[in-house]
Amino acid sequence: MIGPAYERFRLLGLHEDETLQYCANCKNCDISCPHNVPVSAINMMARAEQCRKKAPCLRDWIVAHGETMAKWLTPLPAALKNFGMDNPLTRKVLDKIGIAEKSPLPLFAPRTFRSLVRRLHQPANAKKVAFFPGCYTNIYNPMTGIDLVRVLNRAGYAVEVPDGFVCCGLPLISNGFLDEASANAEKNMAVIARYRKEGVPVIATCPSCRLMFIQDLREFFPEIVERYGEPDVGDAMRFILDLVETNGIDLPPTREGNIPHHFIYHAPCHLRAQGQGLPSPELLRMLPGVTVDNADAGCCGISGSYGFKSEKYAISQKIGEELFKTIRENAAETVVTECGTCRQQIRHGTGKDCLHPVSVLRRILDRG
Amino acid sequence: MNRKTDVIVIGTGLTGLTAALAASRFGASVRLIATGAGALSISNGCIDLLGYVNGTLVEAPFAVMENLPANHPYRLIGREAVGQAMDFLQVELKGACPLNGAADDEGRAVNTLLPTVAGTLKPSWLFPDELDPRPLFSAKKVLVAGIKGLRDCSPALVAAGLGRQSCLRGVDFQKTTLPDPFDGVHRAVSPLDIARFVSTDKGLGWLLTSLGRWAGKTDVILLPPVCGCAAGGTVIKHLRSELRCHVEEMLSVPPGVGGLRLRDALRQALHEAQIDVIENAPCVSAEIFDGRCDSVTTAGPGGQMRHAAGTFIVATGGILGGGVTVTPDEARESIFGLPVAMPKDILARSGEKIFDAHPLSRMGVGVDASLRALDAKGDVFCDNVFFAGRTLGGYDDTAEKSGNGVAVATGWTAARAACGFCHTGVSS
Repeated sequence: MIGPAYERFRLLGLHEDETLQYCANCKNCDISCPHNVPVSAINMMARAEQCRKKAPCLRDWIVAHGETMAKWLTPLPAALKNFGMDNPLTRKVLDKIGIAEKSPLPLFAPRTFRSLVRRLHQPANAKKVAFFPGCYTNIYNPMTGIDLVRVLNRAGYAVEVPDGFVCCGLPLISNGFLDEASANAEKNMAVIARYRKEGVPVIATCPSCRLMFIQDLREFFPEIVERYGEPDVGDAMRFILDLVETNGIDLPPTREGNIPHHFIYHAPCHLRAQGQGLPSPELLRMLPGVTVDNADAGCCGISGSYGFKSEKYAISQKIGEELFKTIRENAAETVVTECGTCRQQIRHGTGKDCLHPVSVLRRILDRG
Repeated sequence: MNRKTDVIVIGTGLTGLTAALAASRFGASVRLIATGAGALSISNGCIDLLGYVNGTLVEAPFAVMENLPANHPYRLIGREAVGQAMDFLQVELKGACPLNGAADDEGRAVNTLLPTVAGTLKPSWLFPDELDPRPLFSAKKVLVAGIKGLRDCSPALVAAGLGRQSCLRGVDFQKTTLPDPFDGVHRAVSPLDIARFVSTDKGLGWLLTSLGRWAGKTDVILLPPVCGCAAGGTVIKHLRSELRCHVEEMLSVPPGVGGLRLRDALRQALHEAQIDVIENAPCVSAEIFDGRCDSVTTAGPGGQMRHAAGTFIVATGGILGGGVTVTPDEARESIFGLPVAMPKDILARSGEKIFDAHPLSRMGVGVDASLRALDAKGDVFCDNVFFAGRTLGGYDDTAEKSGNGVAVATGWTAARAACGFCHTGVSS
């Protein structure tokens, strides 16, 4: 028993429930509650207090600190890092400290998004938009970020990637490192406030990072939100959809010979929790020749770092079972979803290729 | 601003789901805006049409609908619409979650009585296979099974209560408690936990083994709602054939295993009809010009968003669901701020006996025959906004046992009106 019911006992000092460690912070409880009870935040705060009493293990530190570890490993070439992390021997050692041997660890990209974007030529004297890349795009999947930049360049925007942005803090919170998450929030909010003053929108491609800003920061660090103002980070796909609807981006015309594309779309839980619908399938369906099926088959089970943990791996696969089955049975060869770790999990569970919707959009726009 | 659609349905309970599906079948493009999982998930999955009028048990609901007050939703939309709505739901769910009704000796459709974990009988109209009570009323031996660790169902209470019912006189009630399926857990177990377990091969095996010694030795086995999570009755049919007797579930308290089955079946139908669902998006206001609503605004965690549509169906629930906001001094419909009549005197808002009818339960939006809200002067408030389900006034779902019936009947009628299908009783 966790959530608000458990809080009564915990706050009275009557009972500590170990199963609190099994909450994946997927936020389906928040989606299900009609009365706005912040169930997931209650769980995460209770977990942070448990972690204050009993420090999290090395494994939890590792999965919570992807950004720090990537920084330490920067001097090494990606091939070596990946060999070092993903060879059978290391996986056995990692398994010993609690990272499931079979879990689908993401691989380091040859170059980070930040280093790649610096070298891109973007339109001069253009309208500005700031991009919060998040750790997954920056470290493991820079193509998502590059594709976003190119799509927005097409609409006459230059994309800035502020150096001041650090990890949004969600993996820190999910693993009980509330104080570090607070320090990150402070840094990020200072940058967001600066852009707000300049009237430049800030957007994110990762639904979990965005949810961290728009919802979780308010719950966990209200004093920081009060100091810096609204954490107004927009959804990148909604931003592009709005541009399309105001004719800011021209879509290719429908004509004879449009290549048919068939995708299956998975809505990440952290996007559904934002309460603004699903802009990506709506946008992709506007493209000529594109069919998008909505999988609508629940959570993929990974929940950020949850599904990588030895004691949770089997649960995580089981949660994703229905989604995997739906995707496997669908004729589409490519899965589209905004969340990086969802893509990691779906590839692992189905063997199908997974892309961020902005990558699909760029490919079709480039082809014209 | 979201892309414009023909019909926006606000609410994801039985009313909203029915309205969205019906509007789609009438040919409209539909978007559904949801806050929470909807009250269907805490209900039992049967459709109570009209169980009591003024405290008297109703046998044939359609025969007595004319005796209801003039502002009762059934009176407003008419008996025919109520019947069409029930047919619609049965046809739509024929494959995924078949709903049946009872008939008397002459083949006339009548209410049936469903046993509950409190040992009472509740009149209902349509029920899924899991709840089929018909063999119970000709049974000689009935086994009531509880489950160790499940606090919501006491076989002794059920047997004593049902034993007092005149229609079950002479029945030999036996009681048993099945072993704990989880071998002891650290929290209270709900029927939903067990239903999820029974959905697995291991869980089904546990249930069959636990009931094995009763196989063929009783006419009916009454269980709490634990026979799997999926709609369609696969588990219950398997149990009946293996145990060589009728097995049925009793109605229970939330979480509503039966309601969740029905909800899943309806959600699947919405999915197949490609109806967009926007979750976690509380609707906070509406933009009205010249007596027409252009759009509604939601305020989810991601921020405010406008949703434009040709027509709107409001199925946001009553006081508990958030569709009606009540302060000590006044009651208002939550999105449009429509006034809802409430007795001035606080004591006049509730009845004397707690289990009887209460004026508070009849509070809700007043509407015309096509379910458009009426303002204080009795004029239509907004041409293209239709209200359905517990948001409506004029009925007491608890005292009448008419909650899901009004939900389906008004949800379907609102969809028909919203899609421009003319209702014979409407002059406009």
